Amino acid sequence: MLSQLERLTREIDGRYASDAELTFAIDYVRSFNLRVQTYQRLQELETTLVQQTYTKMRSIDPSVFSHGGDDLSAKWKRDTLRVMRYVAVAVLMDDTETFRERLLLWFQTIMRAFGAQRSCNLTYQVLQEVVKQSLTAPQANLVCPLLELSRRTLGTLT
Amino acid sequence: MHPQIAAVFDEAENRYLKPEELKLISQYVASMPERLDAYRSLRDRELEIVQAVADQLEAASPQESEETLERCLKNALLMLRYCALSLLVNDESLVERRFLAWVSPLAKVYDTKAIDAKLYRLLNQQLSKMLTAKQLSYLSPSLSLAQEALLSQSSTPQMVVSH
Amino acid sequence: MVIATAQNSVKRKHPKKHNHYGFRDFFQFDPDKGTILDWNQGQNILTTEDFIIGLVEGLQEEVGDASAATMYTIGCEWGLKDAFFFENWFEKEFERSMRQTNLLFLLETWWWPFTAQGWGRWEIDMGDRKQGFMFINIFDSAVARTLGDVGKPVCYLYAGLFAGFFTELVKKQLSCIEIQCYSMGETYCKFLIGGQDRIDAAAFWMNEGATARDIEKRLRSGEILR
Repeated sequence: MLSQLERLTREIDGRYASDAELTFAIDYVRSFNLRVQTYQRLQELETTLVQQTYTKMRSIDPSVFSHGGDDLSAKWKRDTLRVMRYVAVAVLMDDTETFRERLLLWFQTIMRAFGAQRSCNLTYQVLQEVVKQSLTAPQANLVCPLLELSRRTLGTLT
Repeated sequence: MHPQIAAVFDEAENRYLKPEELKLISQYVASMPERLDAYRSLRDRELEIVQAVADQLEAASPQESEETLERCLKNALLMLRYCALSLLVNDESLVERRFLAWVSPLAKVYDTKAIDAKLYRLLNQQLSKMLTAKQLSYLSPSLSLAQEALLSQSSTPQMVVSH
Repeated sequence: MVIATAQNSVKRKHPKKHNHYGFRDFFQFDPDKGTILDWNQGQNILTTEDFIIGLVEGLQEEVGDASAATMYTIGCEWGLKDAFFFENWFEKEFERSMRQTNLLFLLETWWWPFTAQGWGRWEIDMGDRKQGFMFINIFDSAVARTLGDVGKPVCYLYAGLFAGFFTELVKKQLSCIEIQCYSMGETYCKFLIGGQDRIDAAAFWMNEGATARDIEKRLRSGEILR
């Protein structure tokens, strides 16, 4: 909604917006309560979700948390939490574009620099499963697309 | 307020929004249907409003050139459009940044204060006839801001030629 | 009297925020002064494609075929200066020496301002570093996309930039040549960076009609010009 609003104010310089150009605002208003609910749920559960994801990942492939003898668990938790918080705001504001521009695209290059794509791929796959278990279906439907976007962006080897 | 909403991503990784910040967003969203309604009214009745004002203005200013009147009306129309946008996104600074910033200097050069004063009076009368009180309440803040800014300017000083 | 230093307001609040390359994060617009300062205090101007066309065609008109070499030389100067500029802001932001940093991370960080400025996204392939050369892909080259398909490579400024920057970074004389260009109908631009002998070889092979893939293959198999 946010970036759409900004784009709108730019594009309609000196004229009025048509009804078609305003539908996104109406859609947002309709979905707002669910979004706030989801945002607050993510806030409540963030530690649990990250921990559950960590545990599940360890059972699937513990090697993603070590690199040349170093334990990357703490770093992984920090990074995953960071993405999750951006996802939460993106859900609240219905703003995938800003999420991409201000975090994902940059983070993608950093993950690539450190060869962390495999770890990210697994992380955001498992996180989706964990989210589906802990949130209601409508809530999960807002969150999972952004997690899937994160997985594709951060987890794919070019 | 829009700038405050725009800042919502700034702290994303550090913390979640405070209750009062969420409230701000909720209030804006709750007011959105009414804002859309006001915006649409202005849009759909623009021609009606401006035409009525144009007719009245012309009748009340026989000594002014058509060119001058047209210029003033055009600016007033733009002013309305920017005020409408401003109420839609709830950002008064938009009128300042996107309209007043370039119209003020122009208005100064053409020195249309007297006509503008008349025009705004007629315009405001027309608006109170054609909009509901609720719709007007959304429009007034930015409209007053714009009109006051344009009317309060001092005109360009006269050139003094010494012999 | 208090003189406020011109500084990005997001930066003031979060000076250590590393992901600051969103448009409104990276650039600070001051309409009163008419300036655009970026996160690293660099001055920026906004230009259109007309500017790029004017630059390229104007230069062509002035010096003809020497325009390519001129753009390349300008790029080298720029790359060299930018290496110092970069070292300065990198060490301030990460509180660490450039030379004690993961190389790929360092380079990604170097290129991000360019992406934010509209120069295009990149992909760097250091797989052949030990052999003394490397490749860089550029997506959405500002020059190539502006000029469109003109049947020849046009990103001399970029080639020079890479040559100048990497020469300073590795403290060895490096050159750069564009071996594939959007302006030749490709989907992205590819650059080879290495010693002059490698660049000369690539130029020779290109003249003979070799594709970027051919050149990559030949270099990797150790082929050189005699």
